[in-house]
Amino acid sequence: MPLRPYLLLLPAIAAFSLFAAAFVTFMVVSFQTATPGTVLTHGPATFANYSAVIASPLARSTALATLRLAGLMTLLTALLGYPLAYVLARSTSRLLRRLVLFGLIVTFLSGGVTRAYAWLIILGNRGLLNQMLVALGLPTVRLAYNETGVVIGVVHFLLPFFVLTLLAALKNIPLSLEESARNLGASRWRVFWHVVLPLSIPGLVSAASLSFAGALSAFLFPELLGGGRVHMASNVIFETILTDFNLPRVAAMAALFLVLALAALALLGSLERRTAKLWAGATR
Amino acid sequence: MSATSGATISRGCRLEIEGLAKNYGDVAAISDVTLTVPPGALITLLGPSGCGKTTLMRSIAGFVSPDRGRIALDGRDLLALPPERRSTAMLFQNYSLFPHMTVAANVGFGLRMHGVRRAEAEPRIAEALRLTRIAELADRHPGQLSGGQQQRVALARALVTRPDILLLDEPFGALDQSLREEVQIELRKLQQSLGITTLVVTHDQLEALTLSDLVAVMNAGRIEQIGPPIEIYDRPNTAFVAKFMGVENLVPVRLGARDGDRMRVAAGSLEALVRLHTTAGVVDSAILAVRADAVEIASPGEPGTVAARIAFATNRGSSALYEVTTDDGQNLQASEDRRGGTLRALGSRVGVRLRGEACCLVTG
Repeated sequence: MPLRPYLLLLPAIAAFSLFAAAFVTFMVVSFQTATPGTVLTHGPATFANYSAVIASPLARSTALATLRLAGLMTLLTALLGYPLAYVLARSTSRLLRRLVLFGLIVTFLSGGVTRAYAWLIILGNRGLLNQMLVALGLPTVRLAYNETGVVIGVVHFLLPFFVLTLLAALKNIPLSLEESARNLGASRWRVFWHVVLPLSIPGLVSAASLSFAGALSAFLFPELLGGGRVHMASNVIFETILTDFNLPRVAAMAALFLVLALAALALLGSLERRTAKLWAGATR
Repeated sequence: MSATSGATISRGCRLEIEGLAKNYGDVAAISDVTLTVPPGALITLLGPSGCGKTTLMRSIAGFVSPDRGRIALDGRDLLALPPERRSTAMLFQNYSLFPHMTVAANVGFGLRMHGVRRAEAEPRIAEALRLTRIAELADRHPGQLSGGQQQRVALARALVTRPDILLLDEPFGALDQSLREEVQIELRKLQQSLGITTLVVTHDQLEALTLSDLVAVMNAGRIEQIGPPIEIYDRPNTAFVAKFMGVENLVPVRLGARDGDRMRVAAGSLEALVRLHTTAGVVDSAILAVRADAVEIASPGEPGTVAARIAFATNRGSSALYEVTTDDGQNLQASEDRRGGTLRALGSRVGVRLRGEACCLVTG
């Protein structure tokens, strides 16, 4: 067997091993016991951390809240992002396409912290939006330091990832298919429903999976826009390290959240295959 | 093609286009196009790429909004309607079958969109599949079909809605040469038996001659000449049409004496007596369109011929194609039946004359 191709892979293997080592270390730690008063851990291997996390009401409510919020965020991102991606893929107005793309790229390139504070200025209790409502003589609304604020911030963060992923898929659908459908008597809406949407399902699922993964791991926006009231997985892990100082327990919590996230993504993937089949059946 | 039952027979519609124009920025894609297609006829829009033939077809289907003019089917104005409410069926160049649907679902799509109930739709789908001879493919997906099969599905899908007019965009471009001729003839038979008014866009002159009742040759957004294929082939009006219909020699000529409906013309020492097809037009600049087979090669010195020599010779199957140069420097392409023999030798002396009745005066 020639050795050369494997030699060329060495740098990649080295880099990958470094990342993998971090994961292995934290998996190992999750089966150990904390030495009180230190950051050190010791054996023997135990499932105690896992059973403690599973029994803890905080971990359970966090898991549910994280899945619920990430699902909501993904749904909202898809509802807002699909039309934007469609405009980018199909609009004949170059100005419109450029405006949408510019808006997304600005979001994409500006830092998370900057954006979180920008949202606070707009959504805060005395923010721009509420000042406007007051000026109009309307009651103020609470949009920051709660779930609403976090959802707005994260959806805004996810939007470019979703739109650019879906855009590639939409561009692969030949325009002549849409014209063909209209020629056969389908209105614009029915062309979308019977042709564009079913053909975009694989791209839609990819974009939604990416968004869902991003939402599950959200940390910055829940931290800054949640006002301590929004408990998503990353934030709870972070707070637990600071308060309990129990690394093995936190490692077990992180590992369980990871498994949960992977399971959710796998479910989304299997959904794609099932939907595609269902649609093929429905359009017979 | 099998006999058609009454179900799919379409009544032919008269297509009328008046003063149609469309500009893209400063470029005129089509300018002032007027034509009428009688019910049940097949018209071919023939021209090079960029001549406006596709824009004209897409205007009928509703995917292009013309700036001026009128399109009507049996007197009903089309331009006010969105594409889905025009009773046109277009066959796209790449067939555009829906990849996520079976052949039967593809063919039934138009019926579903028109709200035809399943009980009525199913026999109509079966009929369309039978007409296009693909009944056995009903449950396949487009990805599992050959190009020729895909085209039949696209045709079945277009015919099943009983459109007022069938629009075919370069329908045979993606087929092998050997398959193309067979499918052309089959399509023509089907079109004639259904009596459906049909418009074909193509750049292939042979295809236009094979298929059509009417050929409209287009150039730079205008219809250069329109008429039955034989007329376009035998009596082109302009040098562009002559060239596009494969006329090998376009010879600038002096006009001589007129004799009834004939006129004597000369190019150098070459002379011919040609029939005038139109009384107007061919006065200021005159070009004689001479097909290679209208240049007769004779023995040198034969009376009525001009002395020339063979400058180039090549074999075209049963005939030979020569380039001859007359002694006063005129170059002509001439073809001659080989009669099983070999080609004439390069440089050999011959006499040439033009068969005037096979030549045609055109404008530049």
